[in-house]
Amino acid sequence: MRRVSAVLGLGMLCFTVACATQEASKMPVTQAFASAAAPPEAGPAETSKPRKPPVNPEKWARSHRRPIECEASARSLISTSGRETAWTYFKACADRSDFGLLEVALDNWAEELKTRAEAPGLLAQIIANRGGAISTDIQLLQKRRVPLFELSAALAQPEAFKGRYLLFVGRIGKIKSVKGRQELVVQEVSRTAEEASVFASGSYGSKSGSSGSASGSYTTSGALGSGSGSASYQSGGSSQYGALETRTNFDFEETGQQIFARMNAADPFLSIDRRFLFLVRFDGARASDDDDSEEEQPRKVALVSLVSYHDVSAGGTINQ
Amino acid sequence: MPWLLFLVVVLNQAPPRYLGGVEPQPLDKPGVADDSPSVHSCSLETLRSSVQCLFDGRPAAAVSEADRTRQARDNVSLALSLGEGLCRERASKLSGGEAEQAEHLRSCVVRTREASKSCALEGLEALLDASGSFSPKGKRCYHELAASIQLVGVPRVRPEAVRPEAVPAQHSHQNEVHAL
Repeated sequence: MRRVSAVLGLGMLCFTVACATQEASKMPVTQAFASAAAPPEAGPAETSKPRKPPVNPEKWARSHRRPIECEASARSLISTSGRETAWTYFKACADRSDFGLLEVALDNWAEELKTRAEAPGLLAQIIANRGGAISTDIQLLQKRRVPLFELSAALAQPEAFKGRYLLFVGRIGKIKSVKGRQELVVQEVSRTAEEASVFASGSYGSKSGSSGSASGSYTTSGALGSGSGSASYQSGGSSQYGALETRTNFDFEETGQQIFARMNAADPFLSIDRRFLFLVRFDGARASDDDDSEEEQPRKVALVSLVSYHDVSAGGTINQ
Repeated sequence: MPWLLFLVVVLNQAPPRYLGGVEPQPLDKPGVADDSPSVHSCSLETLRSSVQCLFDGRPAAAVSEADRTRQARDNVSLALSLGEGLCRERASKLSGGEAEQAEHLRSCVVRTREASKSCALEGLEALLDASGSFSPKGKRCYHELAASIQLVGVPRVRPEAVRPEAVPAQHSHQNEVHAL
């Protein structure tokens, strides 16, 4: 019995050391436990030789030059390694900071995006990479019946949306902690776009200096009073010629909607005045004492529980 | 060896991504909403410190007509005692002498008695729930109490401070304009 335990323990130790190394093992763990029908080799559809996925999905994802190639490679693993393995590698692709292929993800991975626990965070990250245009991107999700919603919809029908996941972009206004329970007071912001006409780079043209002066002189001679005079005036202005292009400047502005977000534990990266895209679970709407109006439907405050938060900039991190 | 498989799965788990967040659930299964009161619930504490709060309380509802009568009476009594306590706290912190503090306290109590009349809530439910939070029905009562307490220490404007002779000077200037 002692000998059996020693052998098993040694075997376990060897196996776990093999798994912990960063070097590509001869057979990945996911393949070691894959179904017998799945062949060991796998790779992208574009190359003639199928690429064998390494153990580290993150490293594999970074090895692709463009996100579209990464997603296609992950999708090609479905036929060779099974959907479960392919999903693992797709997640690594979606984790890239330049991954903004929301429609591609919805077209090819809709089932996983609806049924996996990690999917809401993935979708939130992709939408943050695209610049946090919540209304536009939520519409894309709604078309494919992915149940992720925006804040205004939940506040219009609080009872129908209790327990549902919402997305919004907001700026942290206050943090309150009472007996170990933390809540953020967040001001919702929405993305705005302003168009401006600018000269494209490489424009041609001339630019002259400007000056304005006038001078005159008069001389007389002779008894009959002849004279001469001269005057000159020079003026100029700058001019520029070239091709005009329309550029869109993105920014965020506050909507006036407040959200009270509960947290299970303090997070040092959530500090006042920082702006994030928040993924939350909707817990209901409440009346605030700030609202003195006697309207039938006064503006309510959203009460939510924080699931995750993601860095966001109005211009996005990808070149759309 | 199932335990070996279990150990391998555990060792290959991804690191936690959500610090302080709720455990994520699949989108096709709505989560269970957290109905517990917010830390920002309107309570005696927020009345005292005059900070923003939410009407989050869920007090017990009165069942019978007799209960409603008793509840209405209890609500008014509770509001009065809360208000008087806060008046006393605020008045005691004023920098003036005892006489001035007593005067402010007296005015505050008078205003609070008037405000507490809106705290009966028709006896439909208790003014505060078990955790001491005001419910949405108690919003008007809360505002009235807050208004009466916040006036403690605010100097009163005496009527005799307004000068009557300012009005005739303006009138004579207008007469001069018409003459021109």
